[in-house]
Amino acid sequence: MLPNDTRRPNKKQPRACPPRKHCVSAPAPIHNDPITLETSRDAAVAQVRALCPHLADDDTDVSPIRGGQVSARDYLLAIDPVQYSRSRNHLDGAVTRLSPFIRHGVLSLADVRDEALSTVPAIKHAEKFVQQLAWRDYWQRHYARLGERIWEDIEPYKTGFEASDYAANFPTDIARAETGVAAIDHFLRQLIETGWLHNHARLYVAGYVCHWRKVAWQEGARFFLKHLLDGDPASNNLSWQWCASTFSHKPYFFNLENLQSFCGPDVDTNYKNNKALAGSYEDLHARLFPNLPPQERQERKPSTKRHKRAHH
Amino acid sequence: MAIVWVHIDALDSDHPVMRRGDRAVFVWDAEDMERRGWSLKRCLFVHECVAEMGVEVIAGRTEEVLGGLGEPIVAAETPDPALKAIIKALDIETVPGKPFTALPPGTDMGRFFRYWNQAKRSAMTHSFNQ
Repeated sequence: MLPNDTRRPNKKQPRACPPRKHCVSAPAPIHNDPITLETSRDAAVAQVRALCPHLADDDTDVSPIRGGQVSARDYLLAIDPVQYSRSRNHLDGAVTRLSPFIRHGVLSLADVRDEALSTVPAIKHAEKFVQQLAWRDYWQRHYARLGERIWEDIEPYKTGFEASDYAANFPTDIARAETGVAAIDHFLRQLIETGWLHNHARLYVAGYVCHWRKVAWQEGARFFLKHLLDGDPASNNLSWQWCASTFSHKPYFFNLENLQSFCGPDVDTNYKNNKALAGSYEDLHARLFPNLPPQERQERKPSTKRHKRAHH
Repeated sequence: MAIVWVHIDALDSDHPVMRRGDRAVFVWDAEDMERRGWSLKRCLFVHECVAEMGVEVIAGRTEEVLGGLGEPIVAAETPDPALKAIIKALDIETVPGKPFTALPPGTDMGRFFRYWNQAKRSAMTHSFNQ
């Protein structure tokens, strides 16, 4: 290992997780008296900056999604479980954007489930929708058991590589949405600027980060938690582990053809701007996982069956 | 009556815990937000949720602020280990949220669909019928 090699030297050592008290800024002054929170957006942004001295000067993006129960109710009343089940894997599909409100408990899973069941002609039409809600419940139950161990690999990688083969720092070009892969940069910009990303786009980014760039899933998970309004270590980290293969039977990867079949016209999926993603599944498998046995040639249609974890 | 600690996992005026106290307090803990690595937009989203709830807001370290309130405290249940540590340190009573599903003891959680096979019946039932 080279002196400046950033790979993790000991695969059994847990990766650094967010609680890093040694790097916390000087403590903000404690106000024992209650403070009044501003309600207009500009004043609220200024107040958040004053209350959070750790925020960088260049951290200026605010989301079009506003917090609060009024906003949450608007999104809740707009859900269409039938359309959701038909189109949820398409990046322009009928997803709900309820996940930030669910993450912070503004809406409970029961609230959303009840609304979904009340809008469908028969309960079976809401099953896909409720099943996606159940993913959050499933992750939360794991989180309650795992605690901070949610930052550790649950199982070994099934990629033919060791955990120590994956970079333990997050590449600057990815953090700046400047990878040169047009579709990935599009998703990264959306994440940074809005704090929300379609679940399928999250999988594409996670697959790219873990398998094309060989970056440890923990680094990608931490980047997502910085930006996603709905980011919580349960759904986020375990979904990253699912992509990485440390909480699944095999790594998640995709090809440009798959990307083209799920993206709308606003995403640049042109071959010349996304060459790194192009190829058959068996070719990509050989390229990304050279230590594994070759994948058998198979007709692999753009499937929805590997994209289970929608972030509503 | 107790003081309700409104934390980042339960920003809901309708959470069952809100009926357990006559005063609700949210602690704006900037150190915790920094530790979590949150960007401006994440902090703003929480700010907007809390502002709309109209609860009392005090800035400072959560454990110090809550410890200084001098009253029994109740809080919503959470799986978050940092929040659980405060709950344990201050002997805070927790209140579960509205149930989403009921699982039989010993349910296999190894993969999602083993869980879903057990959870489906209650998850697909409206709260009024549970």
